[in-house]
Formats: sequence, C-alpha cells, structure tokens
Amino acid sequence: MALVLTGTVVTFDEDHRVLDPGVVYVGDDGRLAAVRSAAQDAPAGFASAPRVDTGALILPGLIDLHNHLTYNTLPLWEAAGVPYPHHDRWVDEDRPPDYSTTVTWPAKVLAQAAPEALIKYVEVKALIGGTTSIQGAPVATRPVDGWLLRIIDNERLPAGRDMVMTAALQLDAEELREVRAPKLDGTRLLIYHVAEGRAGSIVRREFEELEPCWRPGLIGVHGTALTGADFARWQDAVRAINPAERATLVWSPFSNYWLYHESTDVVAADRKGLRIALGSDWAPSGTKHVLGELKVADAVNQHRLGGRFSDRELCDMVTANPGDALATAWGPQVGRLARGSAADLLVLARHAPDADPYRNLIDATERHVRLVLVRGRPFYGTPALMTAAGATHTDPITVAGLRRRVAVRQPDRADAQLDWPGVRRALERVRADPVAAWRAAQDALASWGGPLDDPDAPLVLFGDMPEGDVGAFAAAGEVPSGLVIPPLDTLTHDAAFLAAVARAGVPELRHLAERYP
Amino acid sequence: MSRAVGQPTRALPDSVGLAEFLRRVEADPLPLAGRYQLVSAARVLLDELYVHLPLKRAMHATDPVQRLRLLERRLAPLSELQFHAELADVFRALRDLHTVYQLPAPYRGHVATLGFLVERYTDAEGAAHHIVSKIDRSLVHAGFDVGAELESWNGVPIERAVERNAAAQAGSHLDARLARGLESLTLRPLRTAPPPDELEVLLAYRTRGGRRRETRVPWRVCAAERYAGRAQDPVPTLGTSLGIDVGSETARQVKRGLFAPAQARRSPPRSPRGVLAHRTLRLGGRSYGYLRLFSFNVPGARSFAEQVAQIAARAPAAGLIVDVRGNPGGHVPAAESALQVLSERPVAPVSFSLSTTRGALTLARAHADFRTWTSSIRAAVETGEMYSQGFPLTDPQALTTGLPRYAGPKVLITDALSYSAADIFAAGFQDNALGPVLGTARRTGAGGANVWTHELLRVWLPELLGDLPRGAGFRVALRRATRARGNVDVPLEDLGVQADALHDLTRRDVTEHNQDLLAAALALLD
Repeated sequence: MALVLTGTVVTFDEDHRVLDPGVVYVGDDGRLAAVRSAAQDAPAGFASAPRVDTGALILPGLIDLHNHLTYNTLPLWEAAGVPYPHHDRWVDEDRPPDYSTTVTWPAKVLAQAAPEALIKYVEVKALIGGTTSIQGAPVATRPVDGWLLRIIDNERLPAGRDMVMTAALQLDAEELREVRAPKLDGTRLLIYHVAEGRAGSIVRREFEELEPCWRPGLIGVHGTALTGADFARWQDAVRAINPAERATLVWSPFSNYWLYHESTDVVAADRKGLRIALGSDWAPSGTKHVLGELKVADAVNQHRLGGRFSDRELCDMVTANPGDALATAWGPQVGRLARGSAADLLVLARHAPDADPYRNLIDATERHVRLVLVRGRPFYGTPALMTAAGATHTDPITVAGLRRRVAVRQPDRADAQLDWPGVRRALERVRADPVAAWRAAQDALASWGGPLDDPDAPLVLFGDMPEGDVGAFAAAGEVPSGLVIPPLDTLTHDAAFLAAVARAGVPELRHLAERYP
Repeated sequence: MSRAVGQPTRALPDSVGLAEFLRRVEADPLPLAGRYQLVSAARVLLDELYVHLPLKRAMHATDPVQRLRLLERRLAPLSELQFHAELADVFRALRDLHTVYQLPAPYRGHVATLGFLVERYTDAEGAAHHIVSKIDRSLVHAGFDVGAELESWNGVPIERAVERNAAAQAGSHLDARLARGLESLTLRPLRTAPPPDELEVLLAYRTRGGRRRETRVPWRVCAAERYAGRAQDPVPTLGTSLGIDVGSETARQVKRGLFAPAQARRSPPRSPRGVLAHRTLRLGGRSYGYLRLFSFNVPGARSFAEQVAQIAARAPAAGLIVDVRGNPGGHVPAAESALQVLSERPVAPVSFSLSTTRGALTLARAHADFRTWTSSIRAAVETGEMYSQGFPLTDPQALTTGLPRYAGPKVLITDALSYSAADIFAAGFQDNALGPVLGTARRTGAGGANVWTHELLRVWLPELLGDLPRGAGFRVALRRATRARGNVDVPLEDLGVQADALHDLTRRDVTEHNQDLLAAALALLD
C-alpha cells in the first residue's frame, strides 16, 4: 500500500540532510518512491495515498548487525567466571548458573517445541527498539524469513538470492581460504565472528586464518583481541581490491564488557578507516535491542573514548554504516533514506526538542518509538499511527507502561498464523512443562519423512552458538528431566535488567541505568 | 503334458498395475537439469561425507565417485528408468543399505508388490525349500496359498532365481544379500530401486496337497506411507542418531499393512505396539519371556527404554528370549538404552567416527553436536588418519536412570536382516556378555553406521550441498560404528555380528510360528 509520512526526516543520506518538515513517499513495492522537503511536490501516483502526519522524527529503521535470535527469550546470564579470556572459555562454564543448563537447553527446547513463537517474540522485542533488520538467524530446516523483520542472513534482496553467508562458529582455515574467500567477489557478504576475547588472548589467531577473506564483503564481528596494526592490514587489503570499499567491524560493547570486561578498540579501527556498525548480541550477554546498545556505545564513547565519535557518527553505526555494508550484497539501501531505498522506517518522538535528531535517537528509549515499518508495512507503533498507516490484524501490547499495537499475524501466510497472545501462550506452554513439550516436538519430527521445504514440514531451529556440555541427552534426542526454562526475557530495559547490570559491577556498563530513568 | 496357467481372479486392493504406474512416470520425466543436480550432489556426498568410502573401495573394488563422473558425461541419452537405475546401481555397488539414492516423486512413498511373501528353510538333507508364508486373501487361488512351495520363477529354478535376485541387492555379505534377495522377490520399495522389469511373474508351485501348478501374478504398486496426504519415507528426514535401512523399514511397514492381524495394523508403525511385542513361553513346566523387537524406528530413547524395561520387569526370571530378526534398525540411542535395561551392569556403547575429509570438518565445525570429533579430523592432515577418533553417541546409563534392569538369563536371536541399530544392539549384547547370540544366519546384516539424509546435511552445509529435484534424496553413512570391550575398534560394517550358535529354519518354523527356533533358543538359556 502506498503511504505518505510527514515529519522531520533524518535522511542519513550522503549529505546527512535533515528535512524539516519533510515527506517520505512509500511505494507499493516496499521501496521509497521519494524523500522530499514538504515544500516540494509529491511524485506521481501519491495523490490519493494515505497521509500520516507523524509530528515526529522519521529515520531509517535501525539495523542490528550482530545477534543470535534463538537465544533472545532468555535473560542475562550472570556467569560465575567473568571475565573470561575468550569465547571458548564460557562455553565450558560448569559452575552455577552453568552454560548448558542456563542457556543451551532452554533455547534448544523452545526452538524445537515452539519455533514460530520464539522467532516472533524476539522479532517483537527488536521492533520495540526500532529495529527493522537483524542478523543472527538460527540454523533452520527452512529459512526463517520475512515474518516481521528483515532477517539479514536470509534476506533475498534484490534478486531473490541469498547473498549473505554467516558463521558464528569459526570455520576451518582451509574452508575460509578455498571456499568462502572466492565467493567474496563484491556481490556477497560473509558475517563472521573473529577474535572475540581479551586483548592478547589466543583467539587473535582467528584473524590470521581469516586473511584470505580480507576482501570487500567481509563483516567482522567483535574483533576485541585485534590491534590497530591488525585493523590497518585488514583495511589495506580491502582497499587494494577496491579503493572505494571499507572493511566493516561490528561492535557489541555491552556483550564484550559483560563477558570479558574489555571491548573492541574501535578508536583504532576508526583511525584506520574501518566502517563501524553496532550489534546488540544475544540476550544472555547483550542489550534488548540495538537502540539500547547505542546508549552503551554512547556511554563508552563519553567515558572511555574521550568523545571520539560524534552523535551523528554513533547514529551512523545503526543506520548508514550497516546499510552501506549490506548494500554490497543487496543493492537497495536499508540504512539511508533516499529514492529507491527499502521502506524500513522508524518514527521516533522528538523527546528532546532542543537537541538535534541524533542526540534524540541516542537518548530515546522504548517509550519514544512511535511507529516501525518494514518493507513499507506497519508492524509496531502507537494505536493512532498504526491505524493511520493502515495496519491490520494488530494486537495490543503494553511497552514501558504505554499502549502500543503490534501486527504479528499474517493472514496471507500459512506459516505465520500466531498472533501476539498466541506467541506468548505457545512459549508459556513450553515453559510450563519443558519435558512434555520436548517429547511432543520430537514425536512430530519423527513422524515427518517428507521433504523439508514442504509447507507442512515441521520447522526446526538450531542454535548458532556452541552448546557446551549437553551430556548424553542431546544426541539421544532427550532432555534433562529437571530442566527449567526461565521466564521470558522482558521486552524493555527494565528495572530487573538494570539490577542485573548493577550486580555485575562492570564500570563501563553502570551508565546504562542513567539512560533509563 | 503342459499345465494350464492360472491367475488370481482379483487384484490386490488399493493398488494400481505396474504398467499404469510406469505410464504415469514416463508422462512426466525428470528434466535433464534435475539429473545433473542429482549426480553432482551424489558425487559431493560420497566424496566428502561418506565415511565408508575407503573401506568400500578396498573391499568391493568399486569407485563410486569415478562412476558418477562417467555417468555425468552421458546423462542425456538415458531414458527415465535407465537414469534412475544407473544412479541407484552406483549406490547398490557400495553394498551398504544405509547409503542409498532415493528416487523422486512419484516413486517416493510407493512399493511394488506381488501381494505375498516367501520364506526359506532347509530340510534335514540340507535342501532349500521356498514357501509362501503370507498372502493377501484376494490373491488366493488354485491352491496358491500359505504353505505352497515355489519351484520356479519365470522359468528359472527358484533357488537360482533367489541367487540372481540376491546378486542385485546391496547387502554387505552373502547371507544378507540372500535374505534381501528373498524378500525383494515379492516386495520392492520404489524409493530406493527402480521398478521390476517384468509386469507379471510366472510361478510354478506345489500346493499344500502336493499338486503341481502354474500361475501368473501381476506386480502391483501401492502407497507405502502417507502423512497429511503426502508421500513420505517411513524414517524421519531429520533424525540425527539413526542407523537404519530405509528400504527394509518400508518393506516392514508394507508387510505389516498387508499381512499383520487387523488389530496390530491399527496402531501406528512407530508406536510401541508397532515396534515391539512380548509374550510368555512355557516349556517343560517353566515359563520364559519372549521379547520381539521388530524395529528401533522410534521417536526417542527414553520412552522406548521405559517400554522395554516394563516388559522385562514382568518377564519370568527363568529367562528372556530377545528376537531382533528382520529388525532394520532405527534410533541408535534407543537400541543401546534398551540393551542397558536388559543388563545389570553398565553397557559399553559402540563408538562412532567421521571421515577426515574437508566436508566432514566443515560439518563438525558448523554443528555443535560434533564438537568432540573436530580436533581429530583437523589433526588428520598431519596424522594421515582416514577416520576421526571414535566417541559414543550417548551414554545409555544416563538415559535409563531409574529404570529397572532385567537380571535373568537372556538369549538373542538374529538373522541376516538384523541391520544397523539392530547390528549395534547385537554387538552390544555380545560384547557386554548379556548372553549367547543365536543366528538363523551366520552373521547379522552388517550395517555399522549412523545415517543422515542429504536434506538434513544441507541445513548445516548450505554452501556444499544444493537443492534436489522433486523430493529426490540421498541417505549417507556419516559416522561409522566400531565395537566395544573385547572387540574394541572392530567395525560393524561388512562384518556384522557373528552368531554364537546357528539354527537353520525348518518348515515348522516357517509355518508354525518358529517353534523349532524358540526351542533352540530355550536350550541355550538353560
């Protein structure tokens, strides 16, 4: 449906224009037909399109370039052994709350017993923070694609082909050299976890193994153990192939500080010319969504980095920068508002009228998100804006004490029939009796001897993170009898979340509470 | 004087003639591009992930990868049936029932059948006899009924016909091939092999009364397995801990559908009633338990072990006969957990290894379940090992915590159709000294692997494995099984489990519920 949105348009285009007042014209094809000043004429075909006066900021939808969706119904994991030296160590944490009981098993059971509900819950959680594209699709028996958000790993923009390779677990050097590197031909992406650990730790060698992939299209996640010299080599290698390209690094400061009490040297990376994007990482060690992560980045920037990054540059990390990185594979921009861009939009209250739009975005909380559109369709927002934008099949949802509506069910898709209450019910049913739910799921899987792309085939999700010690049960298709699945992670950075952060006592994270009064 | 040739007056219910089925197949052949997809996928699968490739190359002097390269060069002129037959034959030559080409729609979910079964026994002089052991009532005519003895098959003496049919089977040793040759005389799952060449079979037989007659029985095609209205395989697409011969499981389920008592047919094939049965035998004033394990194709290990433990707990203390004849395998942890509840002592499970190819390493790095296997696959570049280190799939003791154990004496009955998870069960029975193994063949079916589908592997290896056309598929032996305790590191593939005692089936066994076989088993218990 064509749609016209008016407000203060923060374009994030090449000139970072702010059109106040501005107008965004959303075409039937889910792309932006035009982004103009209010003084300009409308493009052809929009004379009768519904017009929504938002009275707010209109921005590109936020992009979360690092996540692991399977785990995002879980609360923060308050692991006993922090700070860990690197990513291979917390996997083997067997002191309570141990890794496999606290993280692996609950996620595994929910993913197999209620896969659709799980994904929709975490999508809604991300939408509430203004996210429209998110990385970290589970490994699945068929691609989880296009329910609410754009799932970066599975997105088939523009030509109907999946152009994004991802790996949260490290690949073998030979595989990187001989299989993945040749595919980085300027049209495909590889989003790859690399050197996640404290400076000087052994995981830095992963970066050396990745050398054949230091090409345009590589998006490195974490890089916490990397130095300025490493960033320089990476950037030089990319530029040697295409001088117009930049290496892309994904920064997840909350997760880094939570697990390692250190984070990526983003100042060095920026000095060497790398493009920096943000990712909120998974719920056991991350923020609720990338809008929360932006506040962590801002606090670190102010208190640890001497304000190296401007407000606009920080905001680029959740819009233009990841959008540019994804444009290598996708063509249509998702992080800048311009004619032809994807109609992924965030409408945000201008809650601090005296501050510029970028500071407004950084300081915004869930309370300030007014409307979120993905592919030009409204999925979340205030009741008034959702109605004005033509949303259908919506359900009420309370977010930070405010009334909102969310469109979860898609009547036109046989595999997307759950509504928001149905999502919660399905997950709570599994929580109530995980063993029975698991067995029922295993029975359903055992009954299916058909192709996996059949619409009636059971959807099964597998976590993309290491499992730790799951003992004899996992391979046997069994589940520990006393398994407890924790309450569903709340949708906002609420008092319980901030209390857990306070208990951790990590100085770099304590400022987050100041942003959620 | 020539005899008049009879024929059944009625057709097998719920079936179509083979000619009609073939007309449908040929009306919509697989496009050439689909053939290339299949051959290419087969090559990658065998070269990169098939764990027995070195063994098969050595033991059977076959090079499937080269055969596939050659096949790829001459795909265009082949007819629809020739193509499927050639590709299936590459896999058949591996003599590995785990590793199969699965034909696309419309073969999927269908079997060709003559509507009766044949069993074989040897008499006191060692002469083989082939008896009709089961028949659909619609086909009974002119003394062609249970107990009729076959003499020739399309003019070929029956013994030779079975041998010829056996040579076309994938069983890994002669006994296994003979057993399958016998079964496939009258029943052919079309998912794993092309349809029979002949539309009908000319049989010479003796009636129970001893009269010699001839008849023509037509091949018919019927649906083997359906779920939600769709053709299905009888084995889960998504199983990660399976060891099973899908063809035999299909045959088992079809046989059950055609010939089992009506009451038994009502329970789903993978339900407890569909996979196991038990009763009490009385001999010489004493009672013994008899536990029949038809299949390990069950959804989970714990619930299956609970069933077995319950039965064993009620079994007389004098002894228990466990019978896994014809068991095509299934869920390996279920088999090992069942074994555990039959043993008072901890059972040492079999170990599994992957090949050390790059494909196996990529899988091991991508899939968390393979974490323990990764380092030895990586090390193979330096060590030159063909197989990774071996690790058990699971711990049967942990899975059966709290369940009762059967403490009485036990004997296990096997045959050459006891395959894969049933091989593993038999190996565990022998290696952990649960009791003697009584075979109706010298060895079990000799399938020693954990098998995965192409579709499931593709979930983890999307860059390596592509789409397949029309629901075609492959199953591949991914991890090879090696035995435990005194037979540590001895592979099961191609070797199977050697019986401690042998029993040749008698006519009474074939026609009167295995009476002589059970007596032989009881003799071993005492």
